[in-house]
Parts: sequence; C-alpha cells; structure tokens
Amino acid sequence: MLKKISNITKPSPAQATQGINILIDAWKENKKIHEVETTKRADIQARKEVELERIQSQTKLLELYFENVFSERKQMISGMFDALDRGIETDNFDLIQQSLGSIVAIAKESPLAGIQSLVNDFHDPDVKQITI
Amino acid sequence: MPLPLLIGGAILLAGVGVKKGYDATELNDKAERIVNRAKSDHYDANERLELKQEETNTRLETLGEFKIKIFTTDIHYLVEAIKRCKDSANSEYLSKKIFTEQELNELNNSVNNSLEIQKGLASGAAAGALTGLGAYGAVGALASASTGTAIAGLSGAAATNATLAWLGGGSLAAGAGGGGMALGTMVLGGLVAGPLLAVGGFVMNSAAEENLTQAREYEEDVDIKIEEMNKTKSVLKSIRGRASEVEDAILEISNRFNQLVVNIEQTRRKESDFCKSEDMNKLIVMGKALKNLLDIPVLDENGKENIRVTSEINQAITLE
Repeated sequence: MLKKISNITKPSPAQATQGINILIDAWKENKKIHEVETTKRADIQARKEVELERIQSQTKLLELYFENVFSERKQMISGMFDALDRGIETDNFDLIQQSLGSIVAIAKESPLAGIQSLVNDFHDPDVKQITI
Repeated sequence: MPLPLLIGGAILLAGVGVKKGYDATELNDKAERIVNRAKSDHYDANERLELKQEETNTRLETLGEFKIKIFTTDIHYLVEAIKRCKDSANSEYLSKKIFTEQELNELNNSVNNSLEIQKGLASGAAAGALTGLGAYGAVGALASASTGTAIAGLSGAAATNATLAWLGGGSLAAGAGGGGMALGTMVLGGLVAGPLLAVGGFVMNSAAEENLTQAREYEEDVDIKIEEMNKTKSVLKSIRGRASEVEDAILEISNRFNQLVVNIEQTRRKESDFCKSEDMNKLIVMGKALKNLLDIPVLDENGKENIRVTSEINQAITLE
C-alpha cells in the first residue's frame, strides 16, 4: 500500500524543479502586489487627509463668514431701529422714512450674496490671504 | 545550489505561503469591517443631514405662518385704515404717495387670501403653501386673484423647486455606492496538498491585499461625502439664520406698527382726527416697510442659491 502511494506522488526532478519555480513566482508576485497595494493605500490615506482638510477649512470659512455677516447685519439693523425709534419719538418723519428704508434695504440684500466675492477671491491668484 | 538546500528553501517558502493564506482571511475580514463601518457612518451622517433638512423646512414653514399672521392682522388693519381715510385729504395724499392703486389692490387680495389660508391651516389644506410663503416673497403669490390659485402657486413652488424638494426630505444624490467591489470572504476549506496550498496562499493573499485597498478607497469616498454633508449643514444653518433675520425685522416693525395702532385707537375722537394724525402717517410708511419685508425671499427665485454657493466654493477651491 505504502509503496503504491509512493509510486503515485513521487515527482520527477523536473516536476520538482517546476513546482519550486511556481512557488517562487507566486511568492515574488505576492511580494510585488503587497508593495504596490501598500503604496496605493498610503496614497489613499494621504489624499483623503488632504481632501478632508480642504473641505473642513471650507466649512470653517463658511461658518465664520456667516457668523460675521449675520452679526454685522444684526448690529446695523439694530442701529437703524434705534434711529427709527428716535424718529417716532420726535415725530421726525424724514428720519422714520430713512431708517425704515435702510432696514428694508439691508434685509433685502441676501447675506449669501457676499459669498460671490469670497468665491472671486478664491479664483484670484493675487489674493494670498482671505480675511473675513 | 546543492539539492538539500534548495529543498529546504522550498519547504520554508511553502510554509510562508500557507501562512499567507491564513493572513488573507484576516485581510479580507479587515476589508469587510472597513466597508461595513463606512456604510454605517454614511447612513448616520445622512440621517443627521436629513434632520437638518427637516429643521430648515420647518423654519421656513414657521416664517410662512408668521407672514400669514402679519397679513391677517397688521396689513389687514392698514388696508382698512387706508380705505377708511380715502376721503381724507391728508392721509389719502400720503397713502397715494406711498402706495399705488395697484399695490393697494394687491394688498387687499393678499389679506383676503391670507385669511382664507389661515382658515385652511386648521384642516391642513394650505399647509403646503407655508413653506413656499416662507421661502419666497409673499405679496406676488398672495396677490393672485383667487385663494385656490395662491395656495396652488405657493405649494407648487415648494414642490417643484429643487432646493425645497430637497429640504422636504428628498433623497440625497450623494449616496455612497458599493464601488463595484466584491468582498468575498475566502474561507479555506479542507486540506489541500502542500505545494498547492502554498501557491494558493500567495494568490489569495494578493487578492486580499487588493480587496483591502478597495475597502480603503470606499472608506475615503464615504469620509469625503460625510465631510461634504457637514458643509451642507452649514449652508442649511445659514438659510435658517436668514429666515430668522427676516422674521425678526418683520416682528420689530410689527411691534412698532401695533404701538401706533394702539395710539391711534386711543386718541381718535372722530374719523377726521384718525386720518389726519401723525401716527396715521407713520403707520402708512411703517406698513409699506412691512409689506416690503414680507416680500423678501429667503431663497432666490430659482431656489438654488445656497446649493449654487456651495458648488461654487467647491469649484473655486478645486481650481487652486
């Protein structure tokens, strides 16, 4: 029985050499793929970090922009209401009309409109720094 | 090379190959975990964004309801007061300077339609119109000839407009796809002859390395989309901020308008006093400002302003 199995499985020297070569090729190929894929993954990670940082800075910029714009507008509108109240108290019709006109004008102008200039600054190569 | 050394090296390499086969399973498991976690993160982020969409939509609805209230109270009073003073030289002159005949007719229609919409709110018939009313200028739509037309126009604008449909909870196109990757878990089953197992181990390991890379690519795609969603949430916040700003301005004017109404009602003795009082003149200019504020859109005509802005910023920074 043992003899029979031995007869079946015993490879010739040529087959053994071929088997070893296949094994070596597979090892080499795997080693190469491991290196290539490891490099790809490092690239992906680096690219992701850059992209995430880019989007996060855009978001921060947007938030800062909106925060400042809304705060500035609130202050301006509040000042106009103070003027309106003075006009009402003193029966100053011109002041009432002017302050109401200013309130409406400020309110009409969308705070998002200023984003356009922000976008233009992004496009402008001469703009090195954007201050909000 | 001596034969025993060659055979020894081959046996060692075969051992490495078998080990690589087992490592492949771990790599595939890792890839699968990465993809599952990314999918779960994307789902959660989408849920959070949808909540903000709903919040924004509700904010616009509230503004719409507030506008209706102002039309049915303050503007209603204004229109009636102007009608009452039609024959009074002083106030008619002022009201004519401030409001054209057409504007007065439009305001009258707006008041009537607002009263009808207010009635319809209880039954839910006009609920769809509120978002449109909050998002866009009110006078144009409300001034239409019939209440049905006004409601249909406002509801239609809300339904067909890209931004509002999106705010209404439409699906977000930026869903993370599967990336075409198939992450089959490779399980070693049964015993295979030694050399074959060794070669197979190397092959499986190579495939698993590629799977892991695809998983990382998928994760990158999802993480970036999630970050974009955070940016979109900032834009949504600005829409809500804008709605609050407009509402606050209307409320402040309305408070002063109502103080004037109290003064007028308390001091008037006869119709001519009512129409000629300084407070009546103030009331008319205040009413005009109120009407102008009610007509301010939170979103632009196409309703795409905020999305366009985000897109423009993206493009601008991409071009760097």
